[in-house]
Amino acid sequence: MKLRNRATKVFAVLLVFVMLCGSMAACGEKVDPTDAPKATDASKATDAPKATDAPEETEPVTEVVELTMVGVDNAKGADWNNTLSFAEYEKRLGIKFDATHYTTDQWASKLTLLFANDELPDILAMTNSKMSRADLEKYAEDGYLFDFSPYLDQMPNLKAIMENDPAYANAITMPDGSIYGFPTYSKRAASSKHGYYFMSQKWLDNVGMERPETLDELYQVLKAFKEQDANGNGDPNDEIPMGMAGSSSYGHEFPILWAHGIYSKNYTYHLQADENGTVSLMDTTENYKDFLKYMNKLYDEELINKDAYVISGDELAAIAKEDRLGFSSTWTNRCVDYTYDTNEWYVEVGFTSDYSPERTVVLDTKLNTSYNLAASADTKYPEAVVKFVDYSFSDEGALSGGNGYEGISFSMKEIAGVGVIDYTGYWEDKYENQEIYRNTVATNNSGCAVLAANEGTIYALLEQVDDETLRSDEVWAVASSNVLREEALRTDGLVIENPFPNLYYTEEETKERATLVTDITNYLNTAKANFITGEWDIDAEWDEHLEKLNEMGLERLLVIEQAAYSRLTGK
Amino acid sequence: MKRKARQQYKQRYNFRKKVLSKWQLYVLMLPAVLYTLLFSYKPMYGILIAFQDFRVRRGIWGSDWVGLANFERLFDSYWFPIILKNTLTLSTLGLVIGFPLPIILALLLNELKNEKYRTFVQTVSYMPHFISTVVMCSIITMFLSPANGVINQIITFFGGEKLYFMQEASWFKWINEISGIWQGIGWSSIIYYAALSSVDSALLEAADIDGASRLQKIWYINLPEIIPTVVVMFILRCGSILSVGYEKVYLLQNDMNLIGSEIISTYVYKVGLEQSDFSFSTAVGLFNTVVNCVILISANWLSKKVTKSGLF
Amino acid sequence: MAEKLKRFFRGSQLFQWIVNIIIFVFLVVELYPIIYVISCSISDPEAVNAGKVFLGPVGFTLEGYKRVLEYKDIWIGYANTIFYTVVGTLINLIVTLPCAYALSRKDLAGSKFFMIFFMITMYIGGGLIPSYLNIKSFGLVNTRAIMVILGALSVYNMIVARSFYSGSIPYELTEAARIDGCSEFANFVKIVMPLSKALVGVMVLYYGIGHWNSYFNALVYLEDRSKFPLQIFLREVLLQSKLLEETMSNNPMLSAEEIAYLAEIERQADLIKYCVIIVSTLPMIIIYPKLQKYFEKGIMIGSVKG
Repeated sequence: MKLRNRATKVFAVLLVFVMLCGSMAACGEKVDPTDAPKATDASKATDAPKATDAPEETEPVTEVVELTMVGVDNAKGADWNNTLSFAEYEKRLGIKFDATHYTTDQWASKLTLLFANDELPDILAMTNSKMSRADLEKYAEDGYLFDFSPYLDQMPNLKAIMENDPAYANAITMPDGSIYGFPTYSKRAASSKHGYYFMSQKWLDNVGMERPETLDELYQVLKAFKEQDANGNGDPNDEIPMGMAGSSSYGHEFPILWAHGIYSKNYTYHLQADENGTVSLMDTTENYKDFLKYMNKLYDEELINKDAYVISGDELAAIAKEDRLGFSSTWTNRCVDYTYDTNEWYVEVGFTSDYSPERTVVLDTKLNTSYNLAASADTKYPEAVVKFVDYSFSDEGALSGGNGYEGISFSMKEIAGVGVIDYTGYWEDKYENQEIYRNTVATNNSGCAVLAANEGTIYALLEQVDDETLRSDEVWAVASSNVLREEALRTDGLVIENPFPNLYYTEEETKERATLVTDITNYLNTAKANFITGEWDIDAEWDEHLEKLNEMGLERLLVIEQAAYSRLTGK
Repeated sequence: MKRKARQQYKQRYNFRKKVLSKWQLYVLMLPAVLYTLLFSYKPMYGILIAFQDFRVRRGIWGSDWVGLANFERLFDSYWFPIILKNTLTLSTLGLVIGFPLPIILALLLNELKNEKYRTFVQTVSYMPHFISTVVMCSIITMFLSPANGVINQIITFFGGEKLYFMQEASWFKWINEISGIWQGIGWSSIIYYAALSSVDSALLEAADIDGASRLQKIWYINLPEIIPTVVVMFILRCGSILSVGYEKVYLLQNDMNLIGSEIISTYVYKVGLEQSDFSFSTAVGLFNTVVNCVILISANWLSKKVTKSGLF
Repeated sequence: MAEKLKRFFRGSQLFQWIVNIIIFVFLVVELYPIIYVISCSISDPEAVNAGKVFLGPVGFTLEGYKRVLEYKDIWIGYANTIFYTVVGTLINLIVTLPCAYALSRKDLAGSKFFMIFFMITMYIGGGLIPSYLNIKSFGLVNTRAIMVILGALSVYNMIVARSFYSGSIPYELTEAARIDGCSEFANFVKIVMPLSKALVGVMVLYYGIGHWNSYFNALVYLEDRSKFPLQIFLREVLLQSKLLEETMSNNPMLSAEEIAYLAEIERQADLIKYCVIIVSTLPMIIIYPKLQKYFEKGIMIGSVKG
């Protein structure tokens, strides 16, 4: 009897759950319409400006093809399908996308499942992920990926870039001539490829020194920052002459590295080739040893913050905001942008030394090492895929990825005689701020873009104006600290060194290289940190250090790198 | 001859009778067995990937077999002894310090007289379990920060030198372990606390009458009550000696402490960044399993010798 | 007085003091991260990032909570998580407890075999792809069902339960009932279950929190945002709050605009990060004291054993 009672109870409970389940499903369905207004908002936004000044360049497309797309977005972002650019693709190209996207940390598992499922979307948009050449080749070999090489004749925009820059052609062409994936390519002006190595002009003035041009001068300047009240707040001890944060990012020390004749933008593992085409690892040279010694001297004398390896970028930014930082890199630019005026900072370029008689900078490469756009071999609409990819390599297509279309999501504004993209009038009423508008309403924040265009950007503006206009309020208002980067690159006698090219390996090489290069860079990273902080003694332990590298198989690794380099350059 | 056959028959008959008479017990196990077969055993063939050069499209049966090549890649790595040592250090510390503390906490909580206070303490102690690893790690870093971390402020207050905890490889294991205890002690103690609930109150009363001290009661009554649970938990813990999770260690890592903080799982993650390779990570997983199983079986054997009880 | 002092030093009072002091220190240490997270949730995110929050809030603001309330995804996730937790835990109990009980019985032939059968799965798994294909073959991908079925049996918890049964439910008790004519089923429901409230409490807590915190299964097996549990959204927020640092170290090609956008997203995520943690933890903290009563009520066996 009692048991039966209990059974009914259990049954009742189950029933409740089933009902709960049902209501939950209903709940889920109810949610979708709430998202809908976004779409209507977007279409409204499309309508309004279009009526006034839409240039009708393209013929209306009669037949619309539907392509699927899966992408990865570094922020969660809004639905890509609802962006203004995607609506334009439908109108201009006759391609309607059905896109889904994931965040960067979901991506690795999701991509694996896409392959496991054998249900690849027509387009893989991976601008924010890191598919290596090795992975690309592996998937291509398994027959997953679409080969673009037979369609090259239908891809004038891509062809133009390949002809302009053989490095790009090298990057996308596999040994057998097929083309499966595309790294992002930047057509932007040089200033976009220089780091933000901010030096405080105000502090220099306060300690009465000139901008340093040699390594020795840099040391003297940092020392003066340390010893004197460089920020002029009355406390001579609160200055951090050179700030570093985070272990392996940002490259705060790059100008010092270049000054030692090591022209690289890697954190460690600096490959360099001589004129005969012999590849060597600079991390084992006297140059690098002296670089470590120099850094160690700075660290030891507290010219670099002692907590360099544990502090976060945010904390460093907070220190910069208090005006306690004299020389630091990359993204403290946020503080520079918002807190200081133009004349308080300048961007450093490079220093001279015995190793590097000219002031030298290394710019970022024009092309990414990872592959950011690919397509499925099983696509039903190869023509449409080819059309879209080639369109992405056109200037208009490139702008559509991160900025949108003129007259639809932005207008062009003349600044110092140069046209610059301007969003005024498009976002103010409905959206919280311009950036949210640009990346969730107008575009998907370059989520499926492979080309960074120059035209209309601030880099184009900076490149074209003369020295005087560069420093004008008008230009600073749109370009802020980027002005300082452009200015830095205009330094007299500056040598711009090309970085070591991206190398491409055979399948065998890749396999052998994977563990070797992980082992060695991992070790080089920790060795660099320990040498700089003085945990390890550079002079005493250098030979042992080199010995360890050999034990890890450095020689073998260099043979692989040399082979890949020789293949690439023909030397 | 005949007799032996009869005996055999009898044994078999007995066994069958034993099984048949208890069929209801097997029915009770049925859902679990079914679930395990369908969701754990059915995809288990995936372990073969470890011996292959696995290609997704060719599948398990179409990929090339490479024998032990994937294992060799792990063993040949210069870092292998380092990561093995670090992994073992972290988990051994967990076993030696992290394991007994929740037991002690459960025994102490059991001694608190005020029920409301006790519930409060318990609720508080298990809340850190919910703070996600990312946030926990930022709390740890902030706490130990040389610039304005609480610990260093205490040290300098007493006239000491600032310590750069996160920059020292030798500190890493302690930071990891202590923060692990901090976050997990309340949570882990729940099982022991629950086991204490089955202590016979009559026994405690009898002990009171005999004039036993509180410590004696804990030692002779409470502790023996939870020993079986402790043994089971200990054996299980031994069986995961190489399975140190990657997320927390990875987040607390920096270039300075790498020699002390690189463990198997973080290393595999880094190799995977270079080239995604299921075969390699599966091989490493299998290596972990083999070591874990050996330790588990030894622990179980030892436990059977010493306490006369084990898992199987 | 002297008598009192003597008692104090000899026994229970001194002991009680020591216990109280230890527990109090412990309480303070454990309270710290919680107070810290709460303070962060009502502080200016910039102060939090700069490492200026130690105990109390800095730059008090309730903006974060306001935004969480407006953040629709979070509430969808909340409803889903509650559903997955409740139904999933129920299934866990139905699968785990009877099995653990059966395995705890001395008279079960082949119990060693079954233990090994189960324990193998603790160590050998198929890996991501075979498991996914398996679930797909059942047609369970992107269904709510998979979220409650997957992990129906945790061998670890089953072993804990089994050791509880073999330690606390005397074989003689069930055997006697069986001789009286009770079936094993009735035995389990009528005798064993009422005696194991403490165990059920622990299991509900272990499994329930497992479901509550579950993230990876949802990531792999679910597609629709409307089915996502809370943890996915929580992870998204946490990821976004480190966006700039992460993206900038991965991709040096960012333009000034992109950086500005990421900074903006990061600022918004920073604002709600800690609030989301609080909001997502709250139900567990409310439920715990209620479950805990069961641990204390497990004192049944006294009468049986004695």
